Amino acid sequence: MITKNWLELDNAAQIFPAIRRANWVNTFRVSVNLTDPVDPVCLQQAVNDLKDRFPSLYVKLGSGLFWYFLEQTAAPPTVQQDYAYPLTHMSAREQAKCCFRVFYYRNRIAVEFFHALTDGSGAMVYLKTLTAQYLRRKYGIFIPNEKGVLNPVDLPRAGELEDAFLDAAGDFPASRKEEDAFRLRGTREPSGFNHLLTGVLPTDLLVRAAKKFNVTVTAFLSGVLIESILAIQKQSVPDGREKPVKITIPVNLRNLFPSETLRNFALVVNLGVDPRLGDYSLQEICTEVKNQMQVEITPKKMASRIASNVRPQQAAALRAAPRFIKTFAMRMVYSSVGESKGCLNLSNLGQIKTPAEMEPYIDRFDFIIGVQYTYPNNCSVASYKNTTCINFIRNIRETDLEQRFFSRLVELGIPVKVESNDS
Amino acid sequence: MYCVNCGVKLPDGADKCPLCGTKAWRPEGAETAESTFPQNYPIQRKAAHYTAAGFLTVLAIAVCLSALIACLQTYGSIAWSGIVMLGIALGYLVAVVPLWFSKPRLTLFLILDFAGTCGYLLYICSYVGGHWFLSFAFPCTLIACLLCILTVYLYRYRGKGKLLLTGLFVILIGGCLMLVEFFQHITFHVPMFQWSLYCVSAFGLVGLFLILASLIRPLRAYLSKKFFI
Repeated sequence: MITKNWLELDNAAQIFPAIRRANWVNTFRVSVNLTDPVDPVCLQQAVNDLKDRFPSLYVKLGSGLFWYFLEQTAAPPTVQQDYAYPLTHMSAREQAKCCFRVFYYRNRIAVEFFHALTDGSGAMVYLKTLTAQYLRRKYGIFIPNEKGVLNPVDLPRAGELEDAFLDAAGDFPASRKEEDAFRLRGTREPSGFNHLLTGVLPTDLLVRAAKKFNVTVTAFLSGVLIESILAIQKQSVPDGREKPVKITIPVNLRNLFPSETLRNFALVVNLGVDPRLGDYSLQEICTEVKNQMQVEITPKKMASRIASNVRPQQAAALRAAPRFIKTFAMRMVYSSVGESKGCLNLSNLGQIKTPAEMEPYIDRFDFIIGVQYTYPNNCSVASYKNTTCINFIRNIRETDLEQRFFSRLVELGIPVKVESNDS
Repeated sequence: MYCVNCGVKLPDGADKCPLCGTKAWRPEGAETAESTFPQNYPIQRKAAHYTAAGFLTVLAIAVCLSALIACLQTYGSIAWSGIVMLGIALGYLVAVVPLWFSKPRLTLFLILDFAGTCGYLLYICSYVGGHWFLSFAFPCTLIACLLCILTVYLYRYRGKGKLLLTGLFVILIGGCLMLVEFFQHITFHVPMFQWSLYCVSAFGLVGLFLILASLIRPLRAYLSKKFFI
């Protein structure tokens, strides 16, 4: 039970208010497609019902003299009809009122979060609980509180609101030194429009294809993505001036460290290949990514990397510095190491499970991460039942990467259905 | 339905492949695809630059105060610090005041800026005991103001004959420079036609060339082919 109505930002969240710009902020969306059109009245009731259960999400961003903080909102957000594109800009003014939004359009319920509140896994717990509550309200059915659906009338547990980074941090901070990666480029949309391309594919065939290469689905998709980017680099960069092609993969730390937190608890690793060493086949890339994952994603290595993030936050001299100095320092660090070590993000939420009672009402889940300030593309994946949705978002016109990626999947024998928000 | 180029499946009724833009074959009478997103665009408000404006305000006040204190300690009166402070105030009006607004009106601010400049020059004129404000500084500032406003309108003009108007505008600048020399002549009694004739002829030639180019289509086509950036 929490007694105060505000929260400190967790360790990973510190960076997000600091690096936001007038036209860009780090947001992501989770959405669910139901079998029937969404009723906005029931949805609003469900959103209202969950206010006390998720005190770390129904918040607005406040600014103190030394730190930003999250303060609980007086009222839950109003559900609204979706916009023409996902992840429209969430202005600082809007964040000062509420840091997440709930949308509906036809069969879809979508929730967009400012990344300082939570990560993909935490957001998915909220979406599943919201969907369950909506279905209870709409159809009066019984849905057990299991598989990530929380009981709306329970009190939030302390573990759900903790900053899990502080416990997980190791004693020895790892170096951030790493080689810069190749950067994708394109013609930016001046209006801030986000193009969305969704590839819908059968999960069983995807898993079978990944097994053929003897790797996990994430490693397989990273492999195909790296292969596509290698081809783009070869076309656009003269020989001898190539750079490593790396994918930034967020790792859900809940799998490595015991925690039930609903706040941020993920850390990224940059994995890839260096084309200067020679040409790579898809099998080689996949194996390379798999091996790098096994080396990098271990509790000890992650603890050491968390330590390098947590140390500055705990240093007395930095704690006492006014907020604008911290903001400036974080911006400097972010612009030097934050967005130069990878080509794009590939965030895989994995197989999403819901209580069996919900399954007849749900078609699919989508997960969409916003573009970074400098990366024009980003990619996110979520699977439900036998449907995997690969969402590519971009703020440029060119579809080179997506075309290569999906054509390659088709070549590998996986049928892909492509949807887009372009009219 | 499949894209013949990429091999991916398309939603029923899609016009084209979203990946490669290849036109999709659709049987006649088939319905168009339902869009997955509505045609509902967010209203984008451009934010004012409060942080930068606030920081510059503090900086301007600090500089003004230090100049004032230094001057009072040395002379016991405002003396030269008045010129410094009004200069900073003018700079503030030009560069910082628009930052406080999310949608600053350019022409309105231009008029304000030139009014401020006039006031500043009037102060300097009275401080040094000169007699050049009404006959020289004021008309010259007015001319500069009008030329700036005209430039803004010309830049925004999207209709036909922009090149012709630009040519006329360039000739007008030459004429205005001659006026400036005339005011210089009657205020400071320097001989007339010392420098303005060169300006008039140079601006006139450029303006005439632009007018010519706007009237002769092949010349315009040739120039745009040779000098496109």
